[in-house]
Amino acid sequence: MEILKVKSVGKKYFTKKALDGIDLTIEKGKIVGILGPNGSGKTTLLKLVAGLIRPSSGEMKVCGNDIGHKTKELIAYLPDSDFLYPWMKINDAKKVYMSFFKDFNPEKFDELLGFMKLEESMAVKGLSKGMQEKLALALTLSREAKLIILDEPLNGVDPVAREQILKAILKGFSYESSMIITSHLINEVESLLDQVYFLKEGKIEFSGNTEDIRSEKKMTLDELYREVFAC
Amino acid sequence: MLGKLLKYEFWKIWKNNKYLLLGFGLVEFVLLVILRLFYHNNITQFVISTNSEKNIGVSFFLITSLYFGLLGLLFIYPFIEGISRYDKDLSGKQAALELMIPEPSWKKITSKLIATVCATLICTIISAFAMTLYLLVMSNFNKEIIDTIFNVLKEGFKYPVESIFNIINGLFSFASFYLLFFFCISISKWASHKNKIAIPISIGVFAATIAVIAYLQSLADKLPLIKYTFLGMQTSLSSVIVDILIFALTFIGASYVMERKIEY
Repeated sequence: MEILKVKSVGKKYFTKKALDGIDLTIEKGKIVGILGPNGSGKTTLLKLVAGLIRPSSGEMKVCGNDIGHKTKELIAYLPDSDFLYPWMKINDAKKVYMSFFKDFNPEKFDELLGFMKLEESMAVKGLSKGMQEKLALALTLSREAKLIILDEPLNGVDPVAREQILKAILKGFSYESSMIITSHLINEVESLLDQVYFLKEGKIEFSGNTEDIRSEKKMTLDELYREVFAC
Repeated sequence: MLGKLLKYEFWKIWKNNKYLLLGFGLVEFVLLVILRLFYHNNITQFVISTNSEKNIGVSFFLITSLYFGLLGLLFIYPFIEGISRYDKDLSGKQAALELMIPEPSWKKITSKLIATVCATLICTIISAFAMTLYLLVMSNFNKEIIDTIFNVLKEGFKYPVESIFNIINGLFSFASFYLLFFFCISISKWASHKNKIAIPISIGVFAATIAVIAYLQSLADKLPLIKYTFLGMQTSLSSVIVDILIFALTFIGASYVMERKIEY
C-alpha cells in the first residue's frame, strides 16, 4: 500500500529552485532515509509533505489524499527546530497532543518518556538540547500516524543520547505506518533504513533499496554517500 | 474542535501572561494600600470638596499617576499581546506546532479572534474595576460616590436592550479591529517571514485597507439605502452592510492566506 506518492514536485523561492522534479513513493512499513548535504532541499521536501509549505509544481498524495489540513491528521512531523513553548511542562505538551491529534497514544508516550528518562513535571525551558529533542521525538512517535517524518532527529545530540534516540525510533515504529528520516549522520541511521534517496541541489541524485545497494555496490551507505557527494 | 482550539488559545494567553497579571494585581494593590494609608485624608477632602487648588503633594501625584498609568497599560496590553501572539503563531519558533494542528484555518482564526476579544474585555473590566476601587478606597467608601456608581449600573439595567446592543456593538468593533490586523499580518507573512520586509508590508497593507474601508464607508454615507434611528443612533442599512462586508472580507482574506499561502 502506498503511503506517500510524490510526483514531479518542484519548489521555487522566487527564482531559486529548492526542489526540482522530485518523484518518490513510500510503501507501508518502510523506513526511508532522505540524505544529502546542507541546502540540498531535504527539509523543504519534508515540509512539503507535512503541509507546512506548498509545492510550486507537481502533486503529492498521502494515503490517496491531497496535502491539506486533513492529511495533517495522518502525518506526525518532527521539525528540525524547537517547536514547543518554553513555558510548557512536558505534561502540557502531552495534553496539547492529546487534544489535537486523535491518534496520539498517551500510554506509548509515557513509556517512551520513561525510556528517555524524562518526567512529566519537567519544564521545556529547563531541558537541554538533547532532552528537548528526545521529548519532541517521544511526542511524534507516540502518534499512531500513517506517516512519521523525522527531520534531523540526531542533530546536536551527544553520542549516548543519539543511541537512545535510535533505540526509541525502533521501539516507537509500527509496521502499520511508514517513516521518513533525514540525517547527516549516515552511519548512525544506516541500520534503520529500508530505502534511501540522495538529494543534491534539489534533485534526486540516487535512490534505491539499502540492502540492494549494499550487496550490489559492495559498500556502506556512508561510503556511497561520500562517493555521490564528492566534489 | 473549535471548543478545543478556543481552550488552547485561552490556555496560551493565561500561561504566557499569568505572572504579568499577578504582578500587576500585586503592584496595584500595594499602591492602593500606600495611598490609603498615607494620603487618605488628603484625597477624601480633595474628592469631596473638589477643591482642585488644595495641595495634595508630589508623591501622591506620582503614586496615583503610576496607579493609573499601569491601568492604562493593562487596557492596551491585550491589543499588543494579541497582535504579537498572532504574528508569532504564523512565523515564530512555535509556528510549526500551530500549523501542524489538523484544523482548517478559519477555525484557528476564529478561536484566536474570540480569545483575543475576550482577553480585551477581561482587561477592560479589570481596569474599570481597579478605577472604581481606587475611588471607593480613597474616598473611604463615600456614600455619594457609591450612589453615583450604582446609578451608572442601574442605568444599564434600566435599558437592557440598549445595553446588550452596545455590548454586542462593542465586541463587534473589537473583533473587526483585530481582524484588520490579523489580515495585514497574514498578508505580510505571505510575502516574507523576515521582519525587515514583513513589517513595512504590513504597514502598507494596513494603510491600503484603511483607505478602502474609508472609501466604502463614504460611499455608504453618500448612498444610504434605508436611513433609520436605532436606540438614538442615526444609521443606514448600507452602513451596516459595509461594516459586515469589511468584517467578512478581512476574515475570509486572513483565513485564505493562512490556509493557502503561509509557509513556515
